[in-house]
This record gives sequence, structure tokens and C-alpha cells, in this order.
Amino acid sequence: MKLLLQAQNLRSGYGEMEILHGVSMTLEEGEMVALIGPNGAGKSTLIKTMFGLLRPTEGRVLFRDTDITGFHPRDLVIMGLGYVPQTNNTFPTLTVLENLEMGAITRRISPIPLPWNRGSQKRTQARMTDAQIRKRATETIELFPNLQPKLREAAGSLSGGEQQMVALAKSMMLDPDVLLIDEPSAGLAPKLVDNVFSKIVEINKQGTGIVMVEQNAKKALAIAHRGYVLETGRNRFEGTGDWLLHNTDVGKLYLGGQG
Amino acid sequence: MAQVSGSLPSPTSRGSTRWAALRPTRQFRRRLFQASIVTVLFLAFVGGLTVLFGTIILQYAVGGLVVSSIVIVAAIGLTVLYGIRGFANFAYGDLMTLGAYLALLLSLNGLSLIWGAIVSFLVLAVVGVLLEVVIFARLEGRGPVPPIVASVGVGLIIQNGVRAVAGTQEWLYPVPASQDIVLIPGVGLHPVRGFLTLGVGLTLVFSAHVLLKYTNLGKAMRATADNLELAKATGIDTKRVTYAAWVVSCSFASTAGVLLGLGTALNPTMGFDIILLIFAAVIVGGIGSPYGAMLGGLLVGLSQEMSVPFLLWLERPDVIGLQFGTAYKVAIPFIILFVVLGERRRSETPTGEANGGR
Repeated sequence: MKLLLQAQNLRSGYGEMEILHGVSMTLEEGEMVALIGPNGAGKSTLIKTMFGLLRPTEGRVLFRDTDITGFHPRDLVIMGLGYVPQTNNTFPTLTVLENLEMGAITRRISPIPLPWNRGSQKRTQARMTDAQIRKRATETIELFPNLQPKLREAAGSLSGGEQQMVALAKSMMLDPDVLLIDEPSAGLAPKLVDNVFSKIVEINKQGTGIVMVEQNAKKALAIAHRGYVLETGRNRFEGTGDWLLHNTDVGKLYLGGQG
Repeated sequence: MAQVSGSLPSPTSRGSTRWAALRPTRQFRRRLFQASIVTVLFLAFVGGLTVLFGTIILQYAVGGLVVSSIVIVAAIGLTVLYGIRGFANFAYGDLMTLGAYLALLLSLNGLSLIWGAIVSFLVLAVVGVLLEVVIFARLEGRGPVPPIVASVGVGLIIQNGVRAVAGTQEWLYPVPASQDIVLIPGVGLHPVRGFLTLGVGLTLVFSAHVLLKYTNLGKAMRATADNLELAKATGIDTKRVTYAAWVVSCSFASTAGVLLGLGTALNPTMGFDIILLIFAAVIVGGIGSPYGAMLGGLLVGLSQEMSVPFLLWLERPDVIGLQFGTAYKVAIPFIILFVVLGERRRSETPTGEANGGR
């Protein structure tokens, strides 16, 4: 298996406050990795740093063989990474369809050849016309049949579960190689959580590597290939999902009341 | 890795969904219903007033529409910039003044006023981008206060610059004298100050709508206004969107300024004097929302002008003999603002996410 994404010894945080004190992780092609750990362990900070939303003070992030440390998120999207934030992950006043269109904006060819529409150096994927983007949207939505009748409704008027689906669909518009998902179960009823998780598994089966941050450790480890347990900004445990799930230390410390 | 392009969907399954996309949604139908109720109520209101006061009220209603179209153009410009840059541009009134004087300068130097207004529209667009590059881009990420203070400063510089160049006296646009066009007996509208203003206002509102709803740039602008962080993470070129917002905002300011000058006269504080009214329109409609600004502008313009007959009635000695009654018309939009804000506070679920995420 080839390494897809690597974090090497990352130190990062918000302003003066360092949250990650040297965290490493890897993601192989087609793999799903769960990041778990108590609140404040730095799970979200880790994927935000990998996605260029936070700048690491030390360490490197590699995508395939490219050092992408400190790249702008836009460039990472162009290279084939995707990110689904925990909350506020759709544009509420845009319709579902418009949200999906925005998901493909980095690959859009403007019908008017303006001088500033030149391509980025880091571009690896072919570009799409508006018609192709719309076609892609209807393809993507097939994964989320319950969104089909709501394409023209404002995303903000949908339920929390539906919005989470819109966010996933939006990030799938470009069929990214790596998808970083921050707490897909946040604020959802248990039944909806299963629904969202099954979609994530489906996305993973299509070949997208997934790094998922989850509070709901048991469910996350059950579907993930491997997991990392973080604690106060450091790696604590790592192993296959199964192994972590049945490891007594991990169980005692982090899986206690959850499920 | 799976590639996106190339996998063509079967054409049969596509046909039905395409038409499904054109069918009006529940939301749209509900909004259309609400809009028609409001329109009917408004027409009934005007009709009732007409019965009470005579056709003179229609004259004020038409005048209100003219004022509205100026306020709406300005309000769209102000609110678009707020949505994307996240601060209230207090230089906006003075940018209007600048646009108006620029058109005046050009029209005094051989260009027709129309061309003067068009050139001023374009020049102000460039001024907007320059303001972002030279001043406001440097203040990004320092909270909302520094850019507001900076915009007050920019406003003062423009206002006094205009005063230094053009003097403090009033100027008039070279508008050919002409009779009002009579719509129905007792109700007329000046071809330039009335019809042209309405036409230009409608054109700009329509272009703003097309831009925001049907172009990719406009969608990206709305997305950025919704959630800047998410827009960046999605790969939207937020820098370009910011410049576009300045272009729209300042060019609309220019035209609003010209229309304002057309209605009355030009003086160095013409824009500054109207900025509160525009803020009222923007806030009534929900700050950051262009469609709200359109509605708010309509409400502000109509309420201000249509309150005049009522204030005139209050002026009569046998009523309460209010001194300078019509001068209070500028206060009416703010009374409406208070009512709307109070109502909104009561009815609003915590949906601040019209501009969420910031």
C-alpha cells in the first residue's frame, strides 16, 4: 500500500497556545483512519493543521510525496484533498445544488476567458465546464437519495442530518483522494449517526482515504481500518480499529461511558 | 483513484431530474404567497389612503418609489460589502458623494451626464479595489473595529477632498428642464428625476439579482458571506470575491450618488447626510443580505415619503399644530426600524447564521 497522507511530528495550535506537541499519523490509500481521544486532545487541531487552516510551528505534512506543510486550503482542494468541518459545514443561504456547485468551484472553467482565470501550478485534475459540474452534482446526489427532492431548497432550511449529508456530498463533488472529516456525528440523533457513518463507509469503499475525528469512539473504531488515540496533544495508542476496540487500556481510559 | 470526468450518466434518468429542478420548491411557493399578501395589503393601504386623502397620496407613493430606488441601490452596495468583509463601511455615503461629483466634473467638461455617470461607475469600482488593497486588506484579522474606524477616516478624507476641489456651494446637474409626465390626473413624474431614476434603480437591482443568483461569482459571493472559513476550505478564491464585493459596492455607490444628486443638488455632505437612512434600510432587511436590502430600501423610501401627508395633517392648527411637521419624515424609517428590530428579536430563533461563522 502506498502512503497517501502523513503528518510528521506536528506542533501546532492557536496563536501562542500550542495544542499539538508533536503528533504523527499516516493514511494509506483507500484506508479509513479514526482519530479519537478525550476533549482537548487535539484531534480537530490535527486535521485543521493538515488541511492548512492552522500553520504548524514544527513538523511536516506530506501528501503522496509532496510536502504540503503550510499550503493554502484552496491549493490542497485542487490537489485532491477535502475537508468537512464539524459545524457550519454548508452555506445556509445557498440551495443544496448551489452548495454542490461550490464544492467543484476549483475545477470550474469560466466560460469567459479572463486573464486571472489561469490555472494553478498544483492542479492535477482535469477542469470541468458548468454543464459537467451540474452533471457531476446529479451523480453525487445519487449517493444521498434523500437530498434528491431538496436540491433547490436552501441548505439552512434542512435538518441537521440532511445538512451533514449536504456537507459530505459537497466534499465528494471532486472525488477527493483524501477526505478529512471533523466529527460527523456532532449534534445528530443516534439513528442519524448510523446513517452518516454508513455513507462515510460507502465513500471510503469508492476509494477515498478518510481521516475522521470522532467523539463517538466505539462507532468510529468499528468502521475504521485503523485508529489513533491522542491525549493532550500527543500520540497515545495506535493500531487497527479492532485492536483498539478490544484493548483494555484504551477501553478503560477512553471508551468508558461512550457507545 | 477514481476519476470524476468520463463517467457519463444515462440520459434517461437525467431528464426527469432536470425538470424536477425547475419545479418551484415549497419554500419558493411560500415566499411567493407571502410576497403577494404583502403586496395586496400594501395596495389596499394605499387605496384606503387615496380614498381618505385623494390622489395626492398616489403622488407621494410614486415619489416614495423614486426615493426607494436610490436607497435600494445604495443599500445593496453597503450590504454586499458588509456580508463579505464583515464591517460596516462608514465611508459609503462619501463614496456616493465622490461618485456624484465625478459625474458632475465629467459632465461639465464635455461628456453628457449619462456618460459621466458610466465613467464614474467604473472609476469608483477601481477606487473600491484600491481601498481594499491600500487600506482594508492590512486590517484583516484584527476584529471589526479597526476597519470601521478606518472607513470613517476614509469618509472624512473624501468629504473634505470634495470640499477642497468643488467648494461648499451647491451644484446642479445639467438636466434639461421639462414638464412632469402626468400618469393620472394629479399624479405626475419628472422624466429624468423620476422615470430615469426608477429605471436605473430597477436595472441595477435586476443586475444584482442576476449576478448573485445566476453567475458563479455571485454564488461564490453569497457563499463567502455565509461562511468565510468554509468558503476558504471549499476552495473558493476569497480574495477575488473580496475584490468583486468592493467593485459592486463602490460602483453602486457611484450610481446611487448620481441619482441622489439628480433628485436634489450636489453638496459635499450629500452622501454623509443620507448614510443613516441607508443603514436603516440595510438593517431592516437584515444586514449582509442583498435581498433584504431591497425590501428594506423599499420600506424606508415609501414610509418616508408617504408619511408626508400624515405629517401635513398634524401640522394643521386644529389637529396638533405640529411645527415644521414634514421635517419629521426622516424619522419615520427609524420608527419602522425599531418596530422591525423588536419584532425580529421576539420571533427569531437563534439563526444569526445569515452571516454565520464569523
